[in-house]
Amino acid sequence: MKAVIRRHRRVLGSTFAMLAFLSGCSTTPDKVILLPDPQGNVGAVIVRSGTEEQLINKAYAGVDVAKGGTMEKTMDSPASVQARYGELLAARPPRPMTFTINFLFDSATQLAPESSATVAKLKAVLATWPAPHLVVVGHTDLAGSQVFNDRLSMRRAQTVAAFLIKEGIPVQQIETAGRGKREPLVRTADGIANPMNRRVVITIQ
Amino acid sequence: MYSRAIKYALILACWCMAVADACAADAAGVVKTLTGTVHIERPGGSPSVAIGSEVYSSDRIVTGPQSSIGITLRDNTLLSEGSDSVLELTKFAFNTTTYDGALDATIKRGSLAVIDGKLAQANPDSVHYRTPTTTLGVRGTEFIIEVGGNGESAR
Repeated sequence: MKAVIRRHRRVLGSTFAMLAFLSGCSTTPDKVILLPDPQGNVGAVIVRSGTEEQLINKAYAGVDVAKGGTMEKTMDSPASVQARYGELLAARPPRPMTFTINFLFDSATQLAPESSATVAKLKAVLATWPAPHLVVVGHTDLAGSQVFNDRLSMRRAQTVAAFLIKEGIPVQQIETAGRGKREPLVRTADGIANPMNRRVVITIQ
Repeated sequence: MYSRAIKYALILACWCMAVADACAADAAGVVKTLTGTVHIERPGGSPSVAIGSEVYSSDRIVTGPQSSIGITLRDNTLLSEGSDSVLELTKFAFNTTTYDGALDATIKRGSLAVIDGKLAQANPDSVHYRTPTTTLGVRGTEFIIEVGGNGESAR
């Protein structure tokens, strides 16, 4: 009889140990931490779990989410984030860089004279870039229809791509696209011609 | 007999076309940083991973101890995955002309750092990051997600 009780105790004991172990695991929360960008700007993240929702919008603010969905707001510092996540942050790819090429008059083919200097700078950056990929995107001003400007912006992108290839950049690193009049540099009313908006933006990814 | 052979030939031809299609599909992004042991699980094979390797929608990216990987997606989104982590790039699509598309990624285990790209800036509601218990919506920002405990144990 005593032996049976002892055995029960042992089973109970190990059950409790197991439960403690399991709950130990389940109390390690998911963590979300918001970071500022290099200029110090901060966006926002909305964290949802089950029926709960939290918005964080300050640098180094965060939310701990327990497995049950309970949330707790947190506040870290640059030093604590660096200590805990230094290797993760160091593994981030380089931030894409952009270079802008302008066009003479209303042309899709004649690049502004400073283009050669811009491409020289771009090539210097490419030399140290891991597996570089160039996204060459043409833009137009707001004169003309969407369809017309989509085609014109694509022609501008292709002109710049041809120029880059002539300057020795491998063709397989270059992707072209036209964004038409969707993203003017200078906001104007529709139908307005503006030389600043006739451009090609090259992004090194 | 002949009709069956023709049927199989047709099925095979369709399958080959489907495979060619899958290969021709746009890459979602490119590997930019790499340390330690990282492998990619992809339907139909596990490619070797190096700087410059392409990453596709539905890839599952697994890092070992003291390992990490950094990936630039086509919309300028920057991802890095820390050690002992599992990331599923469930969905990625991006149109460079209109900025339409979708990004859905789940960090099943370990840690993920994100710098938002053009998709999150133009269409924030089309971008979602998840852990096994949590969903994140983003509004043009940078952040870290760390999954608690062992997360969902790797399959």
